[in-house]
Amino acid sequence: MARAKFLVDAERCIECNACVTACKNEHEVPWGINRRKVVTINDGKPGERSISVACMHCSDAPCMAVCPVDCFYQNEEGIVLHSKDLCIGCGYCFYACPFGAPQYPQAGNFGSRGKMDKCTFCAGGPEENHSQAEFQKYGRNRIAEGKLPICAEMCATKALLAGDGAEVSDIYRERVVARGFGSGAWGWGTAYQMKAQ
Amino acid sequence: MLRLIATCLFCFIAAAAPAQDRAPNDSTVLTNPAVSGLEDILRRQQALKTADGAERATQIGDPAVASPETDQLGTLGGASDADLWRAYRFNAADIYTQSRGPASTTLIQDSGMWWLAVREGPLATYGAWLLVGTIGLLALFYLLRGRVRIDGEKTGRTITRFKSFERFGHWLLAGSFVVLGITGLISLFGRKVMIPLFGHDSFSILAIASKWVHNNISWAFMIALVLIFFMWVLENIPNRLDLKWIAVGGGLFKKGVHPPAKKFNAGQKVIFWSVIVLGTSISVSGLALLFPFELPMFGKTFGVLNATGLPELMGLGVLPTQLTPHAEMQFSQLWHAIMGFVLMAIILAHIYIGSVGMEGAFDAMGSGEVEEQWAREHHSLWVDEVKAKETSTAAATPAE
Amino acid sequence: MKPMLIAFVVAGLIAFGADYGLDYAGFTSQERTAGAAVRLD
Repeated sequence: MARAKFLVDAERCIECNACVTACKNEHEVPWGINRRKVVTINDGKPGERSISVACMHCSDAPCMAVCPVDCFYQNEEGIVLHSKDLCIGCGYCFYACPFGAPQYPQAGNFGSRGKMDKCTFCAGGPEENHSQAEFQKYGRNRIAEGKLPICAEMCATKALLAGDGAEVSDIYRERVVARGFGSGAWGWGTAYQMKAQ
Repeated sequence: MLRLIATCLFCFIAAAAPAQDRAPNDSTVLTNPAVSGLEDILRRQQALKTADGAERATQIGDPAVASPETDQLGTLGGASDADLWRAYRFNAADIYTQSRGPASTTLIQDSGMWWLAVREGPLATYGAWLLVGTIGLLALFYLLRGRVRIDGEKTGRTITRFKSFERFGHWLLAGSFVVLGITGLISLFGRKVMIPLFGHDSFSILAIASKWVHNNISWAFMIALVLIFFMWVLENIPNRLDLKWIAVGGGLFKKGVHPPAKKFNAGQKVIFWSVIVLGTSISVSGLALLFPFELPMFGKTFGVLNATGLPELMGLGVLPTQLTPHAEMQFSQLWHAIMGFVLMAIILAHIYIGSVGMEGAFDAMGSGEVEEQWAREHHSLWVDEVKAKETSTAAATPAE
Repeated sequence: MKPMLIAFVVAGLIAFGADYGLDYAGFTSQERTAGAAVRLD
């Protein structure tokens, strides 16, 4: 696989939260913690849209740069992973992250001070693949099993796509061409907002 | 059809006006240059700042002006996805989520990289130079002036300067501050300095320990700060004597010069008030860091500052008052560290003059009993007060 | 010198007390982020 990417198609997401639930179940994420969340804009109004957000596995990840103990690493697929053995739970990655991806699940002292937990793109962590330690700390390593992230595989409307960035964008491009709108159909808002005036 | 023509006509008229002062090969889209010009897109691709951020922030669509769903193109609420993404981007979207974590309705915040750049750049650089510079200046002072000795002959008699409870308060503050300073520096410089020295694993253990110590010993610092404030505030109110003291540099730079002073001289008052003011500021921003997202205060503070007009006078423009929860935490961290550095520099000077820098000074906080001659040289009026009190109590209770 | 040493010991005691006290007061991610029907342990 080349560069791994997530893409969420706001035209298809129906806010079913199956990605969130599937993720929690697959990785046995503790209660109260969401590696992925579904966000709805204009809920119940015209123009309602939902998107599913988790760690975006940025190319130049702010969390990697800010970590005081340098516990992050990026693998050859561009997936941003971290070592919970090194993590001190300072919360700095949460302040740096543009998407609010890092979570702090441990029942430790102070609001957000457990060891950080976040979406691994179902790629586990630095421990040996499929080991018990890896599962306990980071959840299942589906990538090592040759599978894609569970959230995208579960998605009933195929709104959430995950995998090789080139393939993902090919699929999305095809969709946009087929439906003729919806990828920020360029200039529409600007052109048609004048209609209302 | 008529409507389409009208729209086209309208666009043309709207575009025609600014087009007149445009270069002929300028391909910027004319209908709404603030939103989606090619130039703008190219600038962003080159990671250059676009000057129209404020205007783009307003182009976020509005379901209220949407055409009805029965209309063609009506399903999107009349706004394009570009408008939708801008609403997300500028945090203007009406966001709902089932996730209950902190700041979960802030979808995108972009001040993280700014915070990171300030923290790694100016904060670490100037902070380090401030501490190194202070130590350098103190070393230079020691070389030029040497130890400040007791000029007169020692009497062998001592006066009680600080009661044991006062010394306890001082050392509670001092001990916790030194530990907080060291653990704070480990958090800031560890990755740059210590990971290359002992590797990730050992440093992580040290960082976990220093984080625990820093978080928890802070309470000792805050308690002690309150203690010393109430113990010494009355004697630290500035008065006219301080001007005289400052005029001769406290006699620090010349042998045999001893300006009169009460219990605390002007130099000590400066230390006292900087500890109180900076220490409180550090404590408050530290509490905001201890309880993440519970104590946002910078948006409000910036609002108050804006009202004074000072930021604009200083060329900072109008400070932002609507901060994302993340930005609140970022400002807390930066302010905490800046104030920490300044107080550390001041305390380094305090430690110097209270130990190697001056003969007889350490006793005040060590045993609490100071040499009478030292007291006469540095706190002459205080010695007179103490002596007067002694004689008056002696007179009040005459020997049997 | 005694008050100095006592102060250092007390600073340490306050640190342990704070850790224990805040745990007891409920400033854990469990208390902060989880609802009544949700548990972390």
